[in-house]
Amino acid sequence: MLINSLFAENFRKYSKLEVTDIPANGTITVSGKNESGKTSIGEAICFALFGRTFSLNKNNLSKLVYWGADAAEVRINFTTADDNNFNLYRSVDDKGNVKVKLERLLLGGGKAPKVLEDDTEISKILNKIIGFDYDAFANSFYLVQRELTTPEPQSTTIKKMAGIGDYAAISSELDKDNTKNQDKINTAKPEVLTTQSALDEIKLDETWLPELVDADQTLENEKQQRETLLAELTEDEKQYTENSTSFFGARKKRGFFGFLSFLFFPVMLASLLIWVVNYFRPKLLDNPLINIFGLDELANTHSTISTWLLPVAIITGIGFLISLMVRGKARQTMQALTGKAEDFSKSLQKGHGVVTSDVESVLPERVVSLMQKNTQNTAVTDSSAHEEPVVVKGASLFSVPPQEQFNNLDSLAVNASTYEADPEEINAAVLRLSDTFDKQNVEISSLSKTLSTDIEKEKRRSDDAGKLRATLKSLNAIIKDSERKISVNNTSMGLMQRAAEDSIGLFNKNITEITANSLPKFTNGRYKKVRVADDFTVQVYSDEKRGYMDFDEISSGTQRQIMLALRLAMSEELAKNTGNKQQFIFLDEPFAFFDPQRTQSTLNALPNISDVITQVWIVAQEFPEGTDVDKVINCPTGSAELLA
Amino acid sequence: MSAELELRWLKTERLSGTVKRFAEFCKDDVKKQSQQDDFDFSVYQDAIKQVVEKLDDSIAIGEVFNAD
Repeated sequence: MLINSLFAENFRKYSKLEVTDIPANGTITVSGKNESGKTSIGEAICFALFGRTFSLNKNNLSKLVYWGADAAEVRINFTTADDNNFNLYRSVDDKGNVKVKLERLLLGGGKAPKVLEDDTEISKILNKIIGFDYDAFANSFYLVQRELTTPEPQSTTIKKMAGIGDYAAISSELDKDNTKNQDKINTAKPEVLTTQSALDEIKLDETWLPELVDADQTLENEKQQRETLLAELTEDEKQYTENSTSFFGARKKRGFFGFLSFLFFPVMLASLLIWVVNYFRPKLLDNPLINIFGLDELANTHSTISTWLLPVAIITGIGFLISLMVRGKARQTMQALTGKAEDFSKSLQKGHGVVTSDVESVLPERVVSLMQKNTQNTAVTDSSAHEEPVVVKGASLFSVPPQEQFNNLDSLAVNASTYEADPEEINAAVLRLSDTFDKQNVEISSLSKTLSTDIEKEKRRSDDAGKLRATLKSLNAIIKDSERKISVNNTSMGLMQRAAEDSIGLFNKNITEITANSLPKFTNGRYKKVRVADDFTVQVYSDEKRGYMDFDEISSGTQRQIMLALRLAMSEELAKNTGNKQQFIFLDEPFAFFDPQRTQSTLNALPNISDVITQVWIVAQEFPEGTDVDKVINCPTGSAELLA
Repeated sequence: MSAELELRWLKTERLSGTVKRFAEFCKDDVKKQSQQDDFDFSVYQDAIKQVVEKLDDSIAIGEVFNAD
């Protein structure tokens, strides 16, 4: 973060303060006599950024207002690491009321961005865009006149400098998350046991419900089969008597016309033969005719043959053909009726098969067992459904197995196929079948109704088991998820622990390297190396003692020189760890205990001491002549305005 | 594919500050951790993502300052 300009009105000693054209890289010196307002410049920057100064907090900010004015206002323009440019306004009135405004400047133009004016929101956003809060700022980039100490070893600031500031907070957050997840597991595990126990108690057999449903469908099919068969038999039985009469009529006709055709055919053949011989070779008939009728009647007989035998042959031929046709038709009728009789016979045989068979033969054994128990009105518990089926052999589910009264049905069916069965016997048999089918269907309906109750029970048990399984699944998912989160959290904490150790090592190494450059210059070569222990306490290497000394073993004057070197090194680390590639630092009277030689060498060293801390503000009453600086700010004595 | 290569999704060049240093550390750490018998790479990756997400509290400046 770099400061580009600073404006203030009625702030501290200044009615008007303007510092512009502040170099991004270089040293800015702020000089002046006592009470000239040097410190006010640092306070203005601090107030703008954090709404407080080193000595004044939000409870006494009205002291910042220039004497006699109503309010003080400060505006700074700064650039962040990602090259965003902001204007930050902050004002306080003589009652201590603070107003703040943050706007992002679009250097390339474009739509005016939103201006933030909420103090809390701005504090939160500022912390993110500049990467540090007041505490970190006051322990690093802002060295006030009265203070030059190392941060507390276990302070958040030094951890932030080392790049591990957030680890503790994250670890604490993950630890709390682990506790919550463990609580979830502890709550879910007993529930799993309870649910599993409830599920075990149900003893659900996954095959039982489908078996029951299949059995119910089988019973329905049996009922349908009986109803269909009964409808067929009733209809066929009605036709049987009529068909029987037709069949025998046709058979009679076939016999009669068969006889006629047998008669007509030789007559026709003989008449035709005699007539043909008489017509073409009459001489051949002379002898037989003379022998039969005598010579006197020969001519007359030839004439009679010639006149009558052809019509006789034709008439008998026609009679023969008609007889064949009628006989054929009668045979067709008989065949059709025989087909119907055979169908009827089959229906009767089928009916006999159905009516004489037990319904349990088409049902699974354990369903039969259940039905027998139901029929015997035995209390059947849900769990008993899973016991080994005990089928009572020979016991029918039908109350009256109708075996005996249909013993003659098979032979009746055989006779019916040729219309030889007595229609009255057929009628009686169909009536008996009908009666039995009705009774069986009533019993099947009753069995089906009982079975439906069992199916409903089993469905409820299955639903209960399903819900328990879903609960189990959900609980196990919670446990698995929580266990994984704990595992991930523990791995995260382990990672951060190792990363922190690594960062501390790196921090120590960097501090040692950075101070190795600055410390000899600040201490005139007396001390060359500083190290930060794992517990963040500072130790200094002494050539004289040939070892590291604790910080409080050194004289207070030298302590300040070492601390300045350390402050710069730590500030550089903080800048790096907060993503600031270029950072300003404001050092108010850092050379208070430096002799002129050390001051000069330090001043010469400061601009090049870091690639990151590039904008160095130094406040002092005066600077040695010949000091190489990039901007000079001289605070006037006796004037309330400063334009630099 | 080595565990190290599978951390290619962790783009350190897009990060800065602490989170960058953490990500760089993870790239080294995974080589050591993956040697352990009980190393679970999936859990390890999720752990990294979790910490990176929590450390990377950078905000989208454009979104914050966009006018309504």
